[in-house]
Amino acid sequence: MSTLRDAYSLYIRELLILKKNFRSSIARSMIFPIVLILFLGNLGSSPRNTPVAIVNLAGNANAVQFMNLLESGTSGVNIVSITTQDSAMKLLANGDVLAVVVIPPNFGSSINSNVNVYIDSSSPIGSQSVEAQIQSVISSFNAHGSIQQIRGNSLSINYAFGASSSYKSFLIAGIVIMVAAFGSFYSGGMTLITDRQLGNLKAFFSAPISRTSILLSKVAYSVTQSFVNAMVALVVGLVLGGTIASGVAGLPYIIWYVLISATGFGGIATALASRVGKIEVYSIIGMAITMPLWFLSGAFLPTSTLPPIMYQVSVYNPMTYATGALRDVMLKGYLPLSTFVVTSAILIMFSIVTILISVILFKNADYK
Amino acid sequence: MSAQSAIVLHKLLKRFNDFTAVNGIDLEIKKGEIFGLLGPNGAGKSTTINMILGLIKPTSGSITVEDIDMINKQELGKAHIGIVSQETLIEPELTAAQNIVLFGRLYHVSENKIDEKVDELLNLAELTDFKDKYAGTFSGGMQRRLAVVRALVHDPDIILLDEPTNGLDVQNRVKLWELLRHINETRNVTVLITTQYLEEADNLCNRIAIIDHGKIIALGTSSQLKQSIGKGNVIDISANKELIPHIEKLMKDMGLESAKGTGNKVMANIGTDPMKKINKLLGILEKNKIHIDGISMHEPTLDDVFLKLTGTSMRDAVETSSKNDRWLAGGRHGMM
Ligand SMILES: Nc1ncnc2c1ncn2[C@@H]1O[C@H](COP(=O)(O)OP(=O)(O)O)[C@@H](O)[C@H]1O
Ligand SMILES: [Mg+2]
Repeated sequence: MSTLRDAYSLYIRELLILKKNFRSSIARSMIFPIVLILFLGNLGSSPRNTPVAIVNLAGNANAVQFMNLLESGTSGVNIVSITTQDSAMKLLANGDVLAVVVIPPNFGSSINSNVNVYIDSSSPIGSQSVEAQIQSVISSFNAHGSIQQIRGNSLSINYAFGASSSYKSFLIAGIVIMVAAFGSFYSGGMTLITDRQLGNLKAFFSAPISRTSILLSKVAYSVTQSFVNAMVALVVGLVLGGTIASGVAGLPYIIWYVLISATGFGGIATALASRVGKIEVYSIIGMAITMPLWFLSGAFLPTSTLPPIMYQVSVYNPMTYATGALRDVMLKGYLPLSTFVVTSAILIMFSIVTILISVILFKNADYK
Repeated sequence: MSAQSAIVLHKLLKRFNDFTAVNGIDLEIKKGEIFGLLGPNGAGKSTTINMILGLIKPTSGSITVEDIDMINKQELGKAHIGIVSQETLIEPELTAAQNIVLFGRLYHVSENKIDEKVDELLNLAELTDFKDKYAGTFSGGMQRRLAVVRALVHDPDIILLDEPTNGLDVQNRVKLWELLRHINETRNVTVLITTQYLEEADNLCNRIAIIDHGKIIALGTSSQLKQSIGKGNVIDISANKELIPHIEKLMKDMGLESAKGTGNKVMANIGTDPMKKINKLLGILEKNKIHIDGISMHEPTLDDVFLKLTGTSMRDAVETSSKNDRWLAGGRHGMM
């Protein structure tokens, strides 16, 4: 109990310092998302005239209307073939089309008509946005879509690019989680080192409080700073053209994933700072930890597009789950309860483990 | 150990790998005194203080603070101690008031008591006008005064100060001494201060322990220590370096047993009949055709004590280290 009270007293100290430097902190935290979204947001624009094959098992008026809708307007889908399922899948495997859409029998007249969509996950760009485009047309028919990722050879497809908000939203989810993780390294962990260098830690160690309370205050500060940074990143992302498909209803989920990711990474950052005395060394190791995790979290491309070995690594990367869940909220507009439960459990476990390790390391850490 | 002692160190020893930083210290600091631990850089002062604070585990020996065993019941003992450390121990990004509030909470002082303390302590440090100013903007002297009063927020029985006046100018140093004396007298706080400044120990401390290479080599009041090297005044003879051993021998031969040469100086206790002895010495030196640069006589200082006990002057030790600092600073600039 007294540990928590002491941690709170120290947390107040962090908040006072945060408040003192708030403006510059906000300004600084804008740079990273702005640069990334401006550069990568357009680099990863979604394709226009995406070649798609249709398997029309319905052959009714609804199917025709569906195909017209798919090709018209902003969706940018180009139906290059209407054929049997077998030949369509071959086209997909060869990289002649990026997706196969199977229109079920009795499409539009039966409530349970489920549109099967096969998407080439090897597409370095745009498979997510094709998915989103097809999904939106399916929804407009009040039908269900089930999406399946298939590895094809999409590199052989040539298509023109156009700006799209969906890739930006896709990217922003990854950036928000990254900022949450990075923020921990540059707040709680970093100031643990500067506090040691300035002798503040010596003063805290000399007081009749437990070391755990000092560490917990640093984790709490990490989470606070990361939260602020991530919200700034989100706002920057929205201003620069990103969208949240679920609207305001998705915000609590976004906040939850930011907080829980920041907690876990706050644990890693403080554990590292417990044992590393020099800021330079700490920064390099911090980069070496966060950067690969970021790249392997599907921040730029779906993890399904990663080479098999890296894909395996991404499965063990907690960031993958936070990013994935955030993406469901921001792109698809819904987060299945099962996904929420599983990802939350994984991230909570991750946080508990990293904080425990950090507490143990900090117990025996030097005061200078 | 008795009810009269604030801190008792017994056979306290600290080794860092093979290096012995504190080499078996026995010390009893009495309640209510201002006690000085005087020694040059690297003598083991900070290591001793840090062991008392529980920041460093002793290799062996025991530490008792207000009759509490500090090895096993650290948290309990810590509540009795206020600390002003060698590093500037204020929070630069907090205001003066916030500094005191933070430490009041960390020492579990109740919230309404803390509020009273803030005004009282800032007044004591003559910082009332700077209550809501960030401590980082304060001058060195103000920062140290804030650090000192901040250490009093929980009404400790003892305050430990590790070289608190390091780097302060004379004026601020004197002001801090006054503050410490005032605190000691009016609040009945035992003060343990480490320093490498002879004047500081001399002026401020009731009792002094001289520490060198991790060992207490002398202990007593300033005047006891000065008397310990012999009666009467001290003479210093300065001359060319090569002549020093020669002069030392001649002085010993004429009966100045305490003669001791270092660098370009020989010092000795002159005892009774100083003028007679000086004349005699000058005669001998002239007969031996030894040219000296000067001769002076003064009352014994703590430096004489240190010189006598260690064979080196503490002023030299301090000066060498600060020269090194300057050289290092120059080196860094050179690289940039
Ligand atoms: N953590 C450490 N590891 C190794 N040597 C140390 C350590 N801390 C201090 N020392 C050495 O112990 C000696 C005493 O240091 P210290 O107590 O800081 O001296 P002082 O405070 O009197 O200047 C010095 O020679 C110093 O180099
Ligand atoms: Mg020291």
